[in-house]
Amino acid sequence: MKAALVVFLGTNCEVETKAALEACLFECDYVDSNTCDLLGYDCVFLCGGFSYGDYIRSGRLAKFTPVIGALKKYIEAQRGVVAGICNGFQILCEAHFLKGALLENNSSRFICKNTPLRLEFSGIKKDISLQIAHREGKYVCGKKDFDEVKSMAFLKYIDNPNGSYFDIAGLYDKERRIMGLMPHPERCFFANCFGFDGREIFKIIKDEIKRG
Amino acid sequence: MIILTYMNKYLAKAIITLKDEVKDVRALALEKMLKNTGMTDCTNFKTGRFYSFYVFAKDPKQANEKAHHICAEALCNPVVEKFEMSLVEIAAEHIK
Repeated sequence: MKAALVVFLGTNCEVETKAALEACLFECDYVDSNTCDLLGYDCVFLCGGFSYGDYIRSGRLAKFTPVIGALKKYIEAQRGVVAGICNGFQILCEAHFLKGALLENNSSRFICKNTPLRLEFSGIKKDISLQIAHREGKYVCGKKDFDEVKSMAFLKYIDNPNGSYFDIAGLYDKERRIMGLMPHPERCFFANCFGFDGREIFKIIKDEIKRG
Repeated sequence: MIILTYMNKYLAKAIITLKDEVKDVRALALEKMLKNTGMTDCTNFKTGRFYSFYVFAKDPKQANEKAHHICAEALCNPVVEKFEMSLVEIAAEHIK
């Protein structure tokens, strides 16, 4: 399976994500934000970090890069799975691939800590712990989308650290081809990291790709 | 051959704030701090962002459309934010 890791100016979690994906037997390529074709890949990862200084809003300027147009074509062609981690999730929301938006945490502070989460996906129900590292991670959405968003959340905070609506930490779209999450699964993957629970997320993504 | 097109120059000013139903945590922190220092006469603070930019257009209507498009598409996220925009004509300029 081939994975593309999109690198924007400011992305800084691509190396860990690549290591985690390679451990899951993916062939990984870094792709630039000027890439116009992603159809050769089974999954596309938007990694964590920053993008273009996060000016205007987190992920806002990344929305205008050519790779987002390529991502649109990729999704329309139903080629594979798109996953956004942290800043990637913010980009997916800003580009309206996923419902809602991410705002500043209720505490107005940058939060970096291991957080207990509840994973509910295709019959899997599990409590896991992943690291979060964000200042703008409070998930919000319009009232008209409340019911839909509740049904599309696959990852929820047990002890909501940032004020996200419905404790949402991770979300997928209707087709389950686009997934976004604020916690960093790639930071909880290897023995020298913050646990092994990140493997659950990569396993889900792999299963979704196999599902086709 | 040089074709000169006369365009008017407008100054657009946009203020972007969170929608009323969205909790403005910075404003709440500011209000709390001011209350703690005894300044209780001012309430309902709002925070936001300010942008100004020039728009070249034939007439105010076209300038308004262009500026509105920039605010809605690039500067503001309509899910959680709203914007107020004003437009002032500066001068006519010819563009080669």
